[in-house]
Amino acid sequence: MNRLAKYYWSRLKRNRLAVAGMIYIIILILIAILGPYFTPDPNKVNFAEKNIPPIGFSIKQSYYDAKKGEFTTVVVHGNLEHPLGTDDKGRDLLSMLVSGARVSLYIGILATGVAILIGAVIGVSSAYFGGAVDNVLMRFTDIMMTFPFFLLLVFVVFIFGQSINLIILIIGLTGWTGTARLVRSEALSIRTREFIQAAIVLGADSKRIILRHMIPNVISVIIVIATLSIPGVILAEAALSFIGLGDPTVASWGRILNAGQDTLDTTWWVAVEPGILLFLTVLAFNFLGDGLRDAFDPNK
Amino acid sequence: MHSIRTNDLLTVENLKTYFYTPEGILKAVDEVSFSLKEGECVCIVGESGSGKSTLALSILKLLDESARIEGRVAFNGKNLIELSEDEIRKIRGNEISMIFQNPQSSLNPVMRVGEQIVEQMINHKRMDKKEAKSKAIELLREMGIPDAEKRFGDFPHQLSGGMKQRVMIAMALSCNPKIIIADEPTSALDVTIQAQILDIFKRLKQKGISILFITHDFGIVSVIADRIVVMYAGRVMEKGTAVEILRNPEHPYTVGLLDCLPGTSEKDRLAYIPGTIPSLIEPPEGCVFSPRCRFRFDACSKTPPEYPVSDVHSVACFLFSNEVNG
Repeated sequence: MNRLAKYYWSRLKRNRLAVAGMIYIIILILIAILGPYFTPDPNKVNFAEKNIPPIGFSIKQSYYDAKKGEFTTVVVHGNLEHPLGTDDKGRDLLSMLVSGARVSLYIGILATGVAILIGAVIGVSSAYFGGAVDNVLMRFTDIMMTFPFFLLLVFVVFIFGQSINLIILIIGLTGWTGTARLVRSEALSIRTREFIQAAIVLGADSKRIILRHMIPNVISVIIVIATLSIPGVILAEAALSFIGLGDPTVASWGRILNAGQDTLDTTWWVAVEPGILLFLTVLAFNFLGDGLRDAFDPNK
Repeated sequence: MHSIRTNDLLTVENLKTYFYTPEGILKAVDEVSFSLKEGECVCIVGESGSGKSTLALSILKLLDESARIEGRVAFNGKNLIELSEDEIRKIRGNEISMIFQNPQSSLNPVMRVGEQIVEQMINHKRMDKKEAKSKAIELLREMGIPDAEKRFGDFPHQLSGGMKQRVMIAMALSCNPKIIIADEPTSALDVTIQAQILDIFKRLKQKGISILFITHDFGIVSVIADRIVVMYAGRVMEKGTAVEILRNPEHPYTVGLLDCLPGTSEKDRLAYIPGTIPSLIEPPEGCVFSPRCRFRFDACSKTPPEYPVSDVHSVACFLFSNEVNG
């Protein structure tokens, strides 16, 4: 397996965008894991330092001067203490984005994990056993596909409250249908390939064929689907947070974005910064996913 | 030829493989009988659609549920057709191996070729990995693969077609089978590679491995066959020793096939047998070859039995019936 990984790495390396995406993702994961230990508390409110723009920017701010008894306008510059600025409560945006990275990646990876696992198991079983099993599983997939996921989410949130793990579970439990379809179609084409027949001829049993021949041939598809669906999940959570259905206790990027939307005309950076991060992260996962797909394709 | 007198290793008796399709019953293999002795190469010859491959797949029960197989395939005192899936699995690859026509697609593309050879040995013989690996490398070397240690770690797409077929043969040999069924193993290769692969088969024969070789190419037959079974539309037309059939073909179909070989003189036009192989769902009444046969006469409306021409040669054709010849 180690040598196999090395071989795929040598192929992936040729795609610069994929490598750049991968480096970005690795750095992001490191920041998400280690960052919160180095940045100030993202929840620390300090009204004296509210609405500070990022370094290199400055805005005019009016405030009520109690001594003079009138409004004065001052120019606030970005400073090193808050390199990415602060929000309307004086919270440090860098800290918020760092802990938000943790939340967004946690949701993205975990929910995708749940969805991929269910999808892969249903897809491979469907293709391998065929017949009635295939029929039942695929009709079930069809039903799940037409299921209004958003309605379910609103319902569940209404009943159980806005919990991040609940949101992960729901995204995972409803998001596997596409994976099941893709894995099934791939597994079906692999099932009819001659090397499966050759393995049967040489005396391999079903277990060996599924584990040694089918799964390794669909694993590339699974990895690619996973990589490409993580950004989708991150965006889905961001969308939920944006419309106020997210978990209010954790600051994901989507929720920071949501908080910043009202003051887009003045403190624009509160919404723009998480937006840029979401954009870059989704792009990075997509580049990596595309690169992996090419690397896994033995014909390229 | 020394082995002709030894006992039969595999005996196929009255084998019938019928597919039950919505259009009707497709008789892909009908009442086929022949035997294979130790260290012998029997060639099954016939044009496309004559049921050669189905016959091979039937022997190892590799067809899906739409096929019904009847008759007897005796091997080691067992009738392979009656074995359960678990029992036949222990024979596949272990005692009877098979090699397919297309080496390009018969290897798992994401598995190193060495591992694919080793897999069988671990599966059937419970060898440990190291032992299996050294045996696999030895086999690759025997197959004439240069740099076998390095090739062991290659992926299939890094090998040429001929190399892949060598790997397939090494896989088939990995558990020291007694019989190898080769289904047109050289058809996808170019002629020089064909000759090298045929050389490998000849060496296997010398080692005492029996080969059931399926082909449509009489050139190949003349190189490796000890005995020949000529099939047409699922039935055996003629069978006998290679020398007899190649020198003295009797059945009009065999004669026709041999005439189709390109001649050496320039004026020779390439001969062919007019017509095509009949539908196997509604085969012609009587002798299946009769619609294309030059010598067809009244008796051909019945199915001909096998008439002996000599003690090593028989023909399923009424031309050789004593009643007709008087």
